[in-house]
Amino acid sequence: MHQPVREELEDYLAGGTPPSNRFDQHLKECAECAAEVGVLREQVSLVRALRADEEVEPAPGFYARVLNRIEQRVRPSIWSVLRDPSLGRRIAVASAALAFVISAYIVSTEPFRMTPSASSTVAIQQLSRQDTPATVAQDRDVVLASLASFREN
Amino acid sequence: MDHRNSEEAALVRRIQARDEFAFREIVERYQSKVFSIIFGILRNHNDAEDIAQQVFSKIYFSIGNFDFRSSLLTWIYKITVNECYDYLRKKRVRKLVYESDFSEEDALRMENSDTATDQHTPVDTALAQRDLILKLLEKISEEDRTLILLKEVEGHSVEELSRMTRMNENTIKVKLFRARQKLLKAAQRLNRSGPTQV
Repeated sequence: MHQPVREELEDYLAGGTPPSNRFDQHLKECAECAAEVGVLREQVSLVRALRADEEVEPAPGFYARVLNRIEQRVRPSIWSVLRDPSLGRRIAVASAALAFVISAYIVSTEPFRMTPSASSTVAIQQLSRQDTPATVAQDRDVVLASLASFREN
Repeated sequence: MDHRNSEEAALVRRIQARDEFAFREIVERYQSKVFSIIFGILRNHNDAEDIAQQVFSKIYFSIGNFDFRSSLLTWIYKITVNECYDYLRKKRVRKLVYESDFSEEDALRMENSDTATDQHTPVDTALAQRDLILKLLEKISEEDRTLILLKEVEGHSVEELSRMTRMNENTIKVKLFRARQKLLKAAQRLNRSGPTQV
């Protein structure tokens, strides 16, 4: 497209002001520019067909619906929670705390057990030797039976 | 014109500070404009509602990035047109998936019926022309597209566009000229690949 047409093209396509003589003269003489301007005018009319013929208003409550959509985007879904990188760290801390609590519970409820040492074995033996009324009577019977059998001999 | 000191800029700053009343004001001020832009492109009320909700939700989340280089209307306009194109792209993909389920015979029958309606009814001709220009506008950059639409659809003058975009008038004229040339080239490429006009 040549300079005289290029300079006035926007004004010409807008259609407000009449083109200058220079512009008109050039279009008469230059078939190439005339053809291109023709196509551009057609293009403009096609683009202008995208203009809404009437003012379009939304149905009542549009703002509330917009807010609702915004809230939907803000509210995290279950999948977005799973994608959270801090989730793994939180799970690890919670697992460690749970393991500690379980261990503490097991230790506190376990009956007292001790591996017997040499001194404790003696103590146990001494304890087991402590006389109870039943064993005293049993021992006396044994002694009496021994004495009786000695006299007979 | 400096967009930082306008009344609109004060409103934007209030939204950036999470003032819900300011956001409501923006929605109420621009809802009709946004609906009209969408309806002009898609000609469907139900889709317009859904896309308009998406536009304002996007405005809410990205207003923090609004840098006052253009007017708020220009920014909203760009978001709205982009959302329309996003919708059209998704619709096209859905259509392709749907059509891939057809048998060859069904596809042929549909193709023939499309051709028949294209040749005969003026309503379908207008529809085909709108589809064509939407397709061509998709081939140019977001900035060029917004500029052409603001000029031709919204009817803004070069002077107004200069104020809205903070670019001088000559730059606007050059940009518009280049955008128009790109549209022509896109139409020529489309003509070579299939039977279309423009």
